[in-house]
Amino acid sequence: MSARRGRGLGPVDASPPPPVEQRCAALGDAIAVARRHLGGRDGGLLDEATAVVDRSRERLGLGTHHTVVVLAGPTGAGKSTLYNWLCGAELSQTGVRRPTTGETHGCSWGEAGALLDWLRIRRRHEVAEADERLDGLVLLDLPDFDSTVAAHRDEVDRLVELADLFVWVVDPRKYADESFHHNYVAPLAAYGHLMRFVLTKRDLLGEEEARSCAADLRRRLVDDGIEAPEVLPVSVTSGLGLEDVIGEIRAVVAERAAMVARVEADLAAAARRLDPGEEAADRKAGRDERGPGALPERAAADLVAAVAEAVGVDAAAEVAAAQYRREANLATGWPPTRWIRRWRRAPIAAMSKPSASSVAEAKVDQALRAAADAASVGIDDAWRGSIRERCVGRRAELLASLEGVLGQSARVGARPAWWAAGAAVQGAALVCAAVGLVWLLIAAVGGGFLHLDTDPLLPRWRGAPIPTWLLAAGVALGLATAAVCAGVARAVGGGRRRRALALMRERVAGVVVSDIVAPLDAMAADRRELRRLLAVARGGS
Amino acid sequence: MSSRASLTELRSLLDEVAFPLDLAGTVDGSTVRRELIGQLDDYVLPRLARLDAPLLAVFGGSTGAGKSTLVNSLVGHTVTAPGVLRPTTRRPVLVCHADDTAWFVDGEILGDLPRYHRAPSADPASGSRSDQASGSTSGQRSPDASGVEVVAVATLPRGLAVLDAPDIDSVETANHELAAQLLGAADLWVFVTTAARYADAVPWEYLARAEQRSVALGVIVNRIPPGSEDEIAAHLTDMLDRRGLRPERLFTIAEGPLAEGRIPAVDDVRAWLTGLALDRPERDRLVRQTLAGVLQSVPARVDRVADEVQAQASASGALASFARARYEGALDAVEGELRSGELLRGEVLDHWREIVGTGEMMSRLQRGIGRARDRLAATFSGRPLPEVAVAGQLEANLEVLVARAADRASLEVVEGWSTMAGGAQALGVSARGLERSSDALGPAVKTTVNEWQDAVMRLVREQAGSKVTVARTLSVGLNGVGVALMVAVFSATGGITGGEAAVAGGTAAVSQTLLTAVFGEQALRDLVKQSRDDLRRRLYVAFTPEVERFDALLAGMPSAGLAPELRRVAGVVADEAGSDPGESGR
Repeated sequence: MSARRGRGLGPVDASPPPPVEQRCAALGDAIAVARRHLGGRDGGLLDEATAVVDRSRERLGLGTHHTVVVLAGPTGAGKSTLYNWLCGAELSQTGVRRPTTGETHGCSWGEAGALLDWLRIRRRHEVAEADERLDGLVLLDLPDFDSTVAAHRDEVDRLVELADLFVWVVDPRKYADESFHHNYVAPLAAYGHLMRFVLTKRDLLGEEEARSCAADLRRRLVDDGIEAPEVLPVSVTSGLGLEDVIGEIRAVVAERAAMVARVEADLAAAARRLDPGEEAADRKAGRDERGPGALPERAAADLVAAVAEAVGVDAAAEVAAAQYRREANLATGWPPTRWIRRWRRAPIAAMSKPSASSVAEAKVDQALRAAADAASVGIDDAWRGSIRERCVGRRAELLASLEGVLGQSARVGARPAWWAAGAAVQGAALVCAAVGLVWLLIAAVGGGFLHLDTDPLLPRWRGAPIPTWLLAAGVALGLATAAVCAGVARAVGGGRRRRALALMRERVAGVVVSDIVAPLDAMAADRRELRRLLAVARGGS
Repeated sequence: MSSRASLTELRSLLDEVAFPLDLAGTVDGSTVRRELIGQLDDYVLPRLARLDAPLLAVFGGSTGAGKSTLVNSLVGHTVTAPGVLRPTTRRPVLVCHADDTAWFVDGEILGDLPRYHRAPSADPASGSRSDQASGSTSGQRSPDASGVEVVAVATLPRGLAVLDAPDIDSVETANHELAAQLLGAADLWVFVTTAARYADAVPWEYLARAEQRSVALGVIVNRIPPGSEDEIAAHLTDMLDRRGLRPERLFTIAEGPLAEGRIPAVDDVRAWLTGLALDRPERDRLVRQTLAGVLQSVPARVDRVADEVQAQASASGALASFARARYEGALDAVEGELRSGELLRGEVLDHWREIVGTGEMMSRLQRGIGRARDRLAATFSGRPLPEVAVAGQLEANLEVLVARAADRASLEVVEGWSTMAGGAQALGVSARGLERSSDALGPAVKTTVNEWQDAVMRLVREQAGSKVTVARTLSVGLNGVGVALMVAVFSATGGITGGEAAVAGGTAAVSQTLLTAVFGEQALRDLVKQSRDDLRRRLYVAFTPEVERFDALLAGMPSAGLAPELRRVAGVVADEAGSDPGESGR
């Protein structure tokens, strides 16, 4: 991927455009990339483009020797008359009945069987004493496209896709027909450089009329989107202008470039239709170098924060702290009362799983939707759909990954050393208090029941009996230790909460990046690749 | 006169027709409607009013067929300007006898088309009258090209008008519409074509229309290579025959040099037309044939319009109900999520425990002192009372669920509409904003949920009545009871059975005990149901503006009864036409 990227984003130098085979392959690759992400969202565009690639490969496979020139035009304009003249034989039926030519007739200068097979032309003729300068020419006399016979139009539409050079034949009374301009010339304007226009029946007009008529046709062709159209007035009956027509055809045939130009124009047109075309939107959105479709940094941070909030990171951190406090208190609390806490439910047991809550689900959904919106600013609808799918459609996986992350962090782990110390102090205090208590009880039993002298049993220190001191000190120490430990547990728990929060945020961020951001980045990279491939297919660098 | 009345009714019904959606047949339907309206205004209504008005023969056909030259040759004046640059005639020219000009300049025939009276001696609109070759582009494109020029000539008899219509097939699409309108107003179509053009597809579409309407038809094939007249005439007659067209006459004109810009051999055409004007019975027959034909064609054409009205109505209905169903689905989804009790998890539950305790033992321990302690704690710590916190969290969670459901619904509607008939076009470019809820929904849901909570509290206050004391002894207070009821609403069982104890960790059971103690079992069941229904109803109201965003895209639909009404009136028109097309005009 990185090697490709290097090529795609490198400086645009003035190197010659890539050869047509490479452009064809690039379009094929581009279709594969787009299909991977768009699925069925392309509205048939990918299938059309695939057809173009297939057709181009077939045509290129047939070699560059031949040039397919079609004579096309409305009924009665004189296509067949011109065709017969060019072929030097009465090959195509002419007549007053309209429409005349029904099946396409093909005439080749030199052997062209394979090509004519590919063109599916059955009525063929090979010129016997061929003009060398026309060697490789395959001339087709198309049916009309404006008569009542719909099958003729279908045949024209089929062959218009396969022609290398279009010679449109119109006459002074038909040159402004809507069917010619709106149905053929304007939609095919991208192939304008492969079009020549023959204005027949020159003999019907005077000098001035012919000139203004040709000028008017030229003007209309420019309106259709043809740059500098070439209009050749001819008269087949008087032979006027016919040499110009054959000269044009000769020049194109000799160059052997029309076929490649046609294929290139096909590839370019298909590539343009596939191009998401969002350079301008990129600049407007101020996107980073990852390009459209990638999640902007800020939106990614928002997504992490929203997902963390949704799955209850705060509550989980609080649970971690509470669990720590609980266990610390159970370990270091005042032994006579700390057992009561065991009756209470452990915070960790009360914690609910994030994925089990539809509220969490809904929050994550909304966050993912917002992220998808942020990633698809200025992107066309098909890709928007894919990006949304990539985000919102992965909610379940995201939540499943997050669940594992959150459960662990609430556990206390190894028991800290100070709990043991606290517990030891509590034990000592308990022993101390117990010794004092037992001592006092013995004294009480000895003095009260056995009527012994208690003084030897109760040695005094600073005015109070030592066992009393022991009992008091034991209890006081126990309570004080419990209080101190509780304070420490609260403080450490607070720290734990903060650490758990940071840790979980980090883990959530990790999951979000691997489950959402990275796939979006990969998709954006594919889009960059797609654009690069389409640029190659269009003939850019 | 009844025929005229029903036609007028049909005319005003057609005005009500609108096609806001872009369906498969919409272009077709609106073309039929436009042409029908035009024909009623330009031709049927005026012609019914005055059957004695002059016969209007419209010369129509392809560009470059030589219509203008032919008309000039027929009337013997250069009234209209032919030229080599296509298309030529832009402003149609109507030629008639001076006594008849009033019919056409001021009369109702040709409806709203502007009419200009031009003196016969004046030049035609284009400056290239006598000199065909130099038809300058600027002259061809006169700015006031709309409207019909009326020219009086002495060479035409009274009772006949000839109209040179624009072409029907050039790149200038405005010409086609005008030509169709003028042909719709004709008593007689004179179809002009050439040897090179007679098999063109476009003219035959018009001829098919002529066949549908049994319009009186004349055909002229111009520019035939000399010697081929019979072959072409035979072929064309055959083609016409196969399509069920029987022209009054078919003329062939051989291609040849013009004499002073006129075709020499048009005498038989002129004789035919003049004859029609002078022969009253024949003229009347033609007028009535065309009128009856047009009237007979009305039901089929109105049917086409009515079909489209129906298609529009049902497509629009399908779209609207799809949108509504998606939002209904969103409500169902919210309700399902509520019933699963999931709103009660997490923090809500923790807080709820603070109210009712963690178990029976603790609750007994805390009874009485719990509340006082909470209140004290709330006062000092600034934290809200537990039941307020629970209510707040329920509200927040509910809002999230509702927002998600609404967002999903709007996306589903957009995705669904894109695949439905007329949907993509109805969405148009505004679809971007419709994929998610409007900005107003968030605050609206917040308000709705707050109001619902208030309503639950009110309900509790009303229902509990004297039982408040019971609640007091349970140490949770009236608000606590309200929250308990909400908790019950948000649990699967509605707080009736104890089966949900597992989900809510015993809490639901506790709240159930509490509620049952306060209200009694039956009343509790009713209360829970009432609160649930109330919530759904309120959310429905909150969703209404969201649905209306989509409804607004379908605005402008004609009323549902329009299609049958159109068909009914069209039937009346056809019946009356069948009985006697001309009687009403007398």
